[in-house]
Amino acid sequence: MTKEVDFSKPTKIKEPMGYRVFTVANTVLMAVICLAMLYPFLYLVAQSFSSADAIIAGKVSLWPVEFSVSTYAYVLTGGDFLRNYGNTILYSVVGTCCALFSSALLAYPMSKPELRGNKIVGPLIIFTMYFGGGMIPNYILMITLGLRDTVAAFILPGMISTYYVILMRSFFAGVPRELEEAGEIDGLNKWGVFLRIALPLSKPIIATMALFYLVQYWNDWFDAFLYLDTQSKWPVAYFLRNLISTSQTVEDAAETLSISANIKSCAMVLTAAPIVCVYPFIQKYFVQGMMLGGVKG
Amino acid sequence: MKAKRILSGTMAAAVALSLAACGSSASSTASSASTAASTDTATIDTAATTDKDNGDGSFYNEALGYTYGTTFKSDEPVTYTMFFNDNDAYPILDSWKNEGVFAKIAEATNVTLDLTVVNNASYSDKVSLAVSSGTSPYIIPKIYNETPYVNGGGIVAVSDYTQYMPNFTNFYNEYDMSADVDTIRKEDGKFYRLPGMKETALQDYTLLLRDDIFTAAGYDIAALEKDWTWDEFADVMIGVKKYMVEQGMCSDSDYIWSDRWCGATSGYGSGGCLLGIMSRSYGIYTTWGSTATNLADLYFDAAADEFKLSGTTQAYKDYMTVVKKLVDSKILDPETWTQEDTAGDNDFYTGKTVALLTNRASTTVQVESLAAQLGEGNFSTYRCVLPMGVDESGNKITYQAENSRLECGIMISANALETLGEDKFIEMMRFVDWLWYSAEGQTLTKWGVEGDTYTVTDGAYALTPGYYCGGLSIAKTDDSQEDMRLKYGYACGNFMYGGTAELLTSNFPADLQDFYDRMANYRTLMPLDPAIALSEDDSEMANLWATPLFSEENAWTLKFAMGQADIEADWDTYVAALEAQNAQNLIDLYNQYYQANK
Repeated sequence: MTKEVDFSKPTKIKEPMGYRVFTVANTVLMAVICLAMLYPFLYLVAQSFSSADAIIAGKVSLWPVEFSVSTYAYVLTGGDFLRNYGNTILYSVVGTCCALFSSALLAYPMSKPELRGNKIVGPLIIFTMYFGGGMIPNYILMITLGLRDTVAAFILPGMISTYYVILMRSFFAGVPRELEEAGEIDGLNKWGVFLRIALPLSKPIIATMALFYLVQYWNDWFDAFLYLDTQSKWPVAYFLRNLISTSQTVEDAAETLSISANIKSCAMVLTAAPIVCVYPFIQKYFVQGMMLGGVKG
Repeated sequence: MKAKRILSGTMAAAVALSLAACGSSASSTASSASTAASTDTATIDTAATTDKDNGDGSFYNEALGYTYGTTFKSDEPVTYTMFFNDNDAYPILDSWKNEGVFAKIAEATNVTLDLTVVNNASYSDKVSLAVSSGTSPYIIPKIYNETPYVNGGGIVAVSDYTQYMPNFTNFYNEYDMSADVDTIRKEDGKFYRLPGMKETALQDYTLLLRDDIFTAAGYDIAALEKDWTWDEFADVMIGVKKYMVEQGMCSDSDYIWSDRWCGATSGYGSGGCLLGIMSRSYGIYTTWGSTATNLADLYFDAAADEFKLSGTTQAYKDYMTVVKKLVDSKILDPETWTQEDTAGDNDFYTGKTVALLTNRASTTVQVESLAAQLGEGNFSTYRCVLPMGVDESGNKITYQAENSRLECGIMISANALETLGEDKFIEMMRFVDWLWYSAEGQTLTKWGVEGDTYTVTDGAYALTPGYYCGGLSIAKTDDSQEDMRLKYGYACGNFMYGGTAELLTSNFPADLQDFYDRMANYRTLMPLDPAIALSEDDSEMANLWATPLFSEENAWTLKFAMGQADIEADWDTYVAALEAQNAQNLIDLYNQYYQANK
């Protein structure tokens, strides 16, 4: 006698006990790791809304103690924080636009095998990934070009990232040749093909590169350190770096200012907030971007 | 084939030439190296001058049109470029240039300083970048270590020009600074940084104690500090803790001392300030005090007439035994050597601990923070004279920890000499001499303008009623007062390096004056170690040996200090570990130089 099976109902496959235990343990472990990652940021947020006295007394852990927004008011209205914050937004937007344009302009022709000299120029560009001119020659170059303490000195060095150009080149190489030829038959010149066919078809990689460049400019403090002398021109990342750094020498420690923990926390929260808010929604593009450019070429 | 032969031949020739070039520059031995010790540096002579003597300590150079000496004034306006170390505690404002320190300097001298302002946190890196790339401003103040710049040729050997600096020379000769300045001379016998020179070494770092608790526990610090040793200090702390436990102020498992300037960041991985000052009490060093002028972990044993490694001495063992006692007795929190400074501060401010390292710049803030937590009038503090170490015979060592009379100083970029030409360069050096070394310049940059920002009555300096100054530890007494340093830039770290004891202590409040009186009564100044100026190659070799050696020593020191290793049981293993890191080579190198130039 055989047992009848009711095919009208979906069969529920019972998971083995070991697998269920593993799933639970895995989930718990991941939750603990997530909390461990999240805690420092929550702690910063809690500190930024707490009074300095409460922080000194060790009362702040996860929630603000003696809740106050006065630290935010102080940071946002005093000093150069807000101005530097505005600079960062400006530099990031302008820098990203310029970087995208120049990178695409370099990557597109490189994706064309028929380009004369491509086999020479390509390796030369890749060469710069492994051998840089060095910090001091770059510094001398910028000074000689008269770019010291100019916004251009902050934006120009990051405008072309070889790695990103290679990713874009690989993507452009995948744009169907037939479409470009059709455009040319319809009267487009090379520039028109690039603008009206190649670029619109490459939105995924351009969006990804835009994110890469945006994050790069947002976080960059080193070029500001090298080239920007005037504090009103600094990006906020460099402002923050100076705020949280201690003196560089033992002997100078005596003169180092002790900045309240709530002010440091507040500045860090404000600086990280845009990226932290946006990142969960865009992280899939980061991975996709790598895949888009990485599988072809 | 032929081309290959030509190519390989060319390459072989190039290699041979480069080797030969290396060989010619690498002929450095202790005996051939000229050192500071062999140079007659007891006094510095001023250059014979045909300039007009004004009779008031100043001279007039008619050719270039400027007065120098006790005062400096250029007939024509002059501009010199200068780095400026901008401190977040008192950021530079336009008012400094319009009506403050820079305006007054220009008013007095006709010299405008064209500043490249760099934040304190980036200063060393930025200076390094500018000097290395040959783009540095002429004057580079607030430099603690010039050694990395010497060989690159980016800075001027300033000792070649001290003859044109009457104020520097007078101070050098009057207070016999030769032994101190010898410590910064390089292999060629020259020095490349104009150091801040102090008439006397003032002990800056010391311990701030909760006097109210010590007194309640039955300990009179003022009486004890005269000749207490670190071991006796540990016993006092144990007694204080016993009292605190009895009073329910803490439990047996709580530590009552957790400190700053010792952690992973500010302690630079070597036990920091606390182990630094303790080791100095015993006549030796830790790597915390290591400077480029000398690999400080090597100390000079005068009795044996040779350099020795601090880390393998009985003195090291003795002071680490005291540290062990403090940690084992649950007095000193071993997290002191790993934590952030604020952790130690917060424990002190909230009354959990009773001792904290302090210095002149920090005490006011520390006491104010304590008052914010505990309430005004609920505590009292005492800046104590540090305990003493003992030598191998059990005798107390009376030396104070700090013995150098040099401060940070000024480097001069080679650009200045190249751009200005020698005559104009000498004029600039005379301006530097006036600003940093003359009584007039030092007083202007420290106190401002007499009658405007300060007054002097019977030799006592005081700010005028409208001002206070956090940087000079002069507290605000009226809400209408402004901070003189914040507003005008006087008393800032770029200028205020040294001077006579009178000027150095002119701003000290009564309790600080009292501390230095006690220091002078109870402690003595340790003689300086003989100066050793290694050649470029030997210096590189010494650093190659010293880096892993200090790393090993630091790792062991922290293990001992945190109770992870036992100073008695693990001593032989520890000494063997240091010896395996070329310790003897380093000692031999120093002694070789010392003997060659005695």
